[in-house]
Formats: sequence, C-alpha cells, structure tokens
Amino acid sequence: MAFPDLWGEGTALVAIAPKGGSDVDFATAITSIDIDMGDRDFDAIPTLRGGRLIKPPPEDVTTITFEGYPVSLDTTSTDVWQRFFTTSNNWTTSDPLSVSNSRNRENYRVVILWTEDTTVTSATAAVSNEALRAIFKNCQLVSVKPSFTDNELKVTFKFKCAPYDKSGNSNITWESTDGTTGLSALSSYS
Amino acid sequence: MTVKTEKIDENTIKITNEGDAVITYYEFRGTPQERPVHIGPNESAVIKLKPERKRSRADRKARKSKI
Repeated sequence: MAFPDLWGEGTALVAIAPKGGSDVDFATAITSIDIDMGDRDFDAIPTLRGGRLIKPPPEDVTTITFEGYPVSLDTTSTDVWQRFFTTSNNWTTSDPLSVSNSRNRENYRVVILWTEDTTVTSATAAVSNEALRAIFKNCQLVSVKPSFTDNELKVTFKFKCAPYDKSGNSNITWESTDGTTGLSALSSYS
Repeated sequence: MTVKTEKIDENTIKITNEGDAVITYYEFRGTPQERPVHIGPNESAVIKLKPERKRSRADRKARKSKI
C-alpha cells in the first residue's frame, strides 16, 4: 500500500449534484481544477509591552474553479448554463432545451476524487485503493464564463462554498485512504 | 436528454444513460438502506425507490383480526 509520488494525469474525478438531485461526473468535460481554499488568517494586535494578541478573523469562502468544454444545456450531462441560471426544479428536460436567467439559486455538492484505481467511475464511489477526496457542500455556481477565443468553446466556471452552514456545521471535508480500510461511497446530497 | 427514465411499476424505474458522463442515482434515497448506483455511458439500471416494508407481527395480527 503506497501513495503515488503525485496525483497526475488521469487520476481525477469530479461529481456535481444539486441538493436533492443526482450526481453527474464531469471528468469527461473538464481539463483543469483549481481549489482556492479560504484563508484562515489572523491579525496580530501589539500590546504596550510588545506582546501580540492573536485575533482570528472569520475563515474565508473557498472557490473552486473548473475549465472545461460543456457542449449543451443537458443537465443529465455536463451542462453549466441551466445549473447557473436556475434551480433543478426548473431545469427543462425535453428537447430543445432552454433556460432564461432567473433569481433562483441552487445549492450544489462538489466532490473531487484522486485515485489511480481505474475501476472507480464516480468521485462519490467507494474506493478501496489509495485515494484522496475533497467534498464541498452547499456551494453555489457563481460564475460561468464561456469563451471562443481559440476557435473552441471553452467555459471557466466557479463554485463558491462558505466554510460553514448557518448552524456552524462544516461544509468542507477532505479524506484519504492508503487502502487499509478504504473510503465509503458518499450518501446522497439532501 | 441523454438519460431516459422508464417507469416499470409504482416503486421501480429503469434509467438508461445515453450520454458520456457517469451519473449516480440513489436507490432507496433518504432511507437507511440508501445505496448509490453509478450508471456509466450506454448503461442502464433498474432502481427501487422505496424499500419494501417488512410486515411486522402486529401488522399480520391486525390483518388476521379483520378477516
């Protein structure tokens, strides 16, 4: 049982689910993942005798940015436009698909898994070999930027995730296994 | 849409994934018996929505007493 020297090409999976919905694996359409973990900074307040009082400001939000090539508004596939503009209750499912912007906002769970186990097909699945998984709950899709500058429709899209929910429960979980016990499959996001 | 859903009966659906992304549905969603079902491209799966309720002794007694 040994972790690889690094998690490289072909090891990442990404699953995105709206609250109460199904997970769709985006790995076939995504080319890059960038996780800007919220800072846990502190301020140091100097006292009269040169000491310092550590004052922790609130933990920042985490931003997860993907670059990829979504090709349609199909929410059973790698759509970002319907996911951006409205809630899963309002997604259209009959062709031709259409969405208008609305004030509705959906909450998402974003799961990113790194494993060399090629039998694992979803980021939410159980893993019995070495793996690293990040789970971000109660995220919102805050930015979708399509561009066609290189003769290809490329989309940069961002999820933002507060560190805690209203009750103070954690929204962010990282887990890993060396294969001794394995990672369990995730429950549905409800 | 790349996913087709057929209703087999009140508690059973067949999901066919004609797209290129893996989709995860949850059998018995929201119950202690919940279990993920990963459906790959060009695969289909039959999913039960709710677990079948085991008849308790009290149920059987109640049913008998009605007859």
